[in-house]
Amino acid sequence: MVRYTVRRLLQAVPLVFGASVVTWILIHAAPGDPIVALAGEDGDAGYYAMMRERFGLDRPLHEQFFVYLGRLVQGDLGFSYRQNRSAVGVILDQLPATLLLMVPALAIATVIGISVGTLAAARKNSTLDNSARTATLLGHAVPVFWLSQVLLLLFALRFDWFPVQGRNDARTDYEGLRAVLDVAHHMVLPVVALVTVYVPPIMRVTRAAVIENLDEMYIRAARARGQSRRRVLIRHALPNAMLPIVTVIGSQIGFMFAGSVLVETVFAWPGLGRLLLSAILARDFAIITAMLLMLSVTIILMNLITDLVYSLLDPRVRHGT
Amino acid sequence: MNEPLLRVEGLRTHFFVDAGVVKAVDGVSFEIRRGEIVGLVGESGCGKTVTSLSIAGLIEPPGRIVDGSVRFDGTELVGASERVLNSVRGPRIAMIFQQPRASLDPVMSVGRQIGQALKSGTGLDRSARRRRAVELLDRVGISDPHRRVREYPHQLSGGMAQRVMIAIALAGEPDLLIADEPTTALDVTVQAQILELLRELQSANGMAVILITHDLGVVAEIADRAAVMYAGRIVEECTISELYDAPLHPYTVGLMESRPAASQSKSRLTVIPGSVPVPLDLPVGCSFAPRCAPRVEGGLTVCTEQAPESVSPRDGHRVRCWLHG
Repeated sequence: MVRYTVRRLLQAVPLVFGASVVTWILIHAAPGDPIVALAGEDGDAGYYAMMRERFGLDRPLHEQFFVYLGRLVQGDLGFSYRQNRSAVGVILDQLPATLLLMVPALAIATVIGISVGTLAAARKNSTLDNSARTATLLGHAVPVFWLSQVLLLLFALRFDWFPVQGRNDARTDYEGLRAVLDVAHHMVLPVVALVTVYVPPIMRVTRAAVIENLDEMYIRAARARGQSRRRVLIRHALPNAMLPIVTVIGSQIGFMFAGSVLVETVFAWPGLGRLLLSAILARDFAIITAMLLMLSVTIILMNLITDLVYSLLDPRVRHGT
Repeated sequence: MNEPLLRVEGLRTHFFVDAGVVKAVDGVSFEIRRGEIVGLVGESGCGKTVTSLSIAGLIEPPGRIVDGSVRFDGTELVGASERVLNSVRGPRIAMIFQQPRASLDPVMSVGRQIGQALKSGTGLDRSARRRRAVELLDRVGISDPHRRVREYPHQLSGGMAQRVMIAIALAGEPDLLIADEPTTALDVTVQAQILELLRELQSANGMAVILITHDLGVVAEIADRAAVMYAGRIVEECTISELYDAPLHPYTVGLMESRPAASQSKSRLTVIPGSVPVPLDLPVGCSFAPRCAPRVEGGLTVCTEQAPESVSPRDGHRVRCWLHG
């Protein structure tokens, strides 16, 4: 297991390297000038030149590329022109805010998706199943930025149940439990929006996989030794359905930073999603490349973790048959 | 002692599919006494498996038992609650199936699956269940049971998996074992071992066995009596010696003649002309009539007009055929 993990991690190195190279090239091929974005459009030409020199942007592109690569292998992900700090520092500052939304959203979505999916599978074509499937379809179809805005308009502006935007109330300075509750209050709407995005795939995959397994012969055999319908569902069909479910959840975790952009933007949540958007608008190269690198690393890591979880869940994977 | 262990009467199990109603089992009646081995014989699709699943209450939609009675040791099982059925399945009526490996949950260890069968009613704790599981594996002839009990189904061969299934079935010390084609998917040498094991356990436990098979050789080897099924009905029921020496129903006669025999060096096997009727579209009258040569020779017209009742021309020998009615 350890050996397998190490081998997979080593295999990931060229992949991550390649991804960062492609990212760098794409960003530099895109139009836009970070210095103009930073200093304004009608700035002094001498000032532009000075700034370019300072960040090494006056050098030819291929030289810049090799400077980037040289830093990359040393683990230096570059310097944010805009924030005047290392890109990694900026990202680490914003990471907790994003995790604060993502972790609860994914946890809630996993619980809802698996339990509703399993129930729907057990009562295929029942009212419950049909409503769950319709809801899933809607959840899939509704764009998350639109849903976020509707949630805002309805529950924050119209009914005034929840704060409109941000992570905490800027007007007051809560401490202790009150501060926690304040953040929690701010979290509700964005988490609801994210849950709406995450539940449909989990539910659909759960339902399909459980239905498939309920047709298997070992289900009938388990029933023949006196296991109730419910026990067969929970002890046999669901554990056997876990592989595709884990795959979906793993890929959702892999993409969670990317997926947070729209929700964080609508709710003005100070997380990575918003950071990425503002970095793109400001042509803040270092932040963009560092974030995309982090995204690819997360996805690769999640794939690895998913595979490791497989072997925990399924003895056939564990024994390599 | 006169009351049979299981009495099936007029059992009808139909499947309501888009194309119509499939009458998979259409009026099956038979009895089985304690400690008896009855072979339920017939071609694939004749309703053997549906009969066994109906007895155990394991028919799932679109299938449904539409009529009839299954009395097991004084309890009516048709229409019984899930709770009653769950308490009968396993400890009283156990089942083994044609594909033993597919019948074991791939992600649950052998020991835990045996443990499930022990759980109900025995009140054993975890380690006692584990010990009992090891004993049972040993009993069904699995070597190194301490290791095997921790293994998973994919680590077992087909024959071993069937032994595990038998161990699970034995766990509840059932009164009745329904063995649905238990040896069909296994190698010939393993088949003989499994049959030998079944017979040995049966005589030690005194449980009754319904052995479902299309293989007359298997029936001859271990059954006391045979019930021959055709198109959802039992057409003949008799002892094994009568089955071999004096079969009455033309279908049974055909079946017996179509067995390959080592002593005869025929270049071709005898076949019954035609094929099993589609259960969606059963002929009026006797289902076998379209394939029945004696009917044509005898010039019987009643066969295609009215279904024959079960008659008993000899003691303990029942047949559903106008030739004998």
